[in-house]
Amino acid sequence: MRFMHTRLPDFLRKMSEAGKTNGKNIDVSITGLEQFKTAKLASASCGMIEEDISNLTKLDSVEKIEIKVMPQLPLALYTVIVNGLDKNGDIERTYLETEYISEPGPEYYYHNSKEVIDHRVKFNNPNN
Amino acid sequence: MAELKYKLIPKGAAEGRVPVSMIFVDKKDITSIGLSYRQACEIIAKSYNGPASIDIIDMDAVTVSSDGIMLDFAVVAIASCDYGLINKDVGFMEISEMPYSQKLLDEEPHMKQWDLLHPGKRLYRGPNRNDKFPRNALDETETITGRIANNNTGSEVLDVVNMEEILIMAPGIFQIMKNEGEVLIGIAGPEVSVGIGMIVFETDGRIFNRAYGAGQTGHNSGIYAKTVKSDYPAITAVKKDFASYVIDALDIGLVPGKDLGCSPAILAIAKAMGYTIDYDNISERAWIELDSIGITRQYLETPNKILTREELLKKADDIVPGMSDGKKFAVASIVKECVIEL
Repeated sequence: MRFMHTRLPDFLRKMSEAGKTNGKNIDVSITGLEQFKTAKLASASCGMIEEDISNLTKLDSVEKIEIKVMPQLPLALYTVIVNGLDKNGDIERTYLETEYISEPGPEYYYHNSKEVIDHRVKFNNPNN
Repeated sequence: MAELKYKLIPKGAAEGRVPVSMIFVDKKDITSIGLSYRQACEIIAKSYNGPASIDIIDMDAVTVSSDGIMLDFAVVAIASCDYGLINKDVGFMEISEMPYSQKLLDEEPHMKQWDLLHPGKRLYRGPNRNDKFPRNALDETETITGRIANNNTGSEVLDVVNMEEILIMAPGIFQIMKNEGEVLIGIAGPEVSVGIGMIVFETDGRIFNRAYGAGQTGHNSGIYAKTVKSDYPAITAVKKDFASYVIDALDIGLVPGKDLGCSPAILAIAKAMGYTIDYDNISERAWIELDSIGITRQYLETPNKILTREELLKKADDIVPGMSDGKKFAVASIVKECVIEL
């Protein structure tokens, strides 16, 4: 499935290159992926984000592009791996724990935006 | 013209002890004007236009505190608002009514209170799996919009940006909604920190779902349990008001450590009034947490003068442990009554 998911370094490169379209050379900063050393990202979404960036470069007033990546549910459940290592770096014992991390809702990052276009997958929440 | 009324405890209330704004709405003030709970939250969010929790309260229903004490009110929906918005995916959550069933009573001995003390009342505790969607079954019972997380079915309000937090113990919400008397506001301290882990087994509880039983600890963190929430501000009922509910539960034969959670408050009241405590059913892990705040089995088994209900209620401030630097505030002095013209 090599072509279905984009390698993390390719994702980062593509985002940066998308800022250099439409005759512009706009800096694209990405936060929220710092903890990932290796990952594959859905290629279709990658292409949509590239197009978003390219569209932003068409706006005369845009001089910088910031990307923030966060869980779509900001109350994510995490596995915590606690490893105790010996002098050789071998793992002597491991504890696995659960941690709940509540982070700001996405509104925190765009609440003063003049225009919000939401392409995210919808939960179709029957409770709404 | 219709009006939507709500109660606001603003950030900075109670001499600066309240770090996050909290909004409480009586269910009747929503249903009487034909709105859904979500619609009401969205209207309040737009009108208030700032960071706050929203709890919708049914004063004719019943709920259960984390240590198994039934209280005659219930949280029926929770929300977080910020920037005039309610996040459409996780900003709001309704709590379904828990139907009466023999299975529930058989599995959960503390629910004898429902039959004997609150017969016929509708019960709401925590959200069920459908209520939680799109959250996962194991996710916290929490809403988030912008900076505000409203967690554990309305019992913890967090600003996840400045990282301030306040605990609202269920009896405190009840007192606020009654809009009379006083509440106690202070720092949770080690006893409350340990106590909120001493939960009872419940299906779709306000915090856990079928996770731990009376005599066990949900914190399960040894000597660290007393520090888990110890330095956070907290609001609760004044001790005599909460003690009255505990005594009602003890009076019908419920036993701390077996039927009720072994929280410091319940153990202290049971000891003072000579009620049975199931010491042997309290787990080793729970004893570590209790021992760490000086509540040892030896101390609890030491004979003491047995108090009557009246005597205990009179001395409740001295007997019931918990809350450092606690100060009583008249509810009317911290709650602002607000009205939105629709």
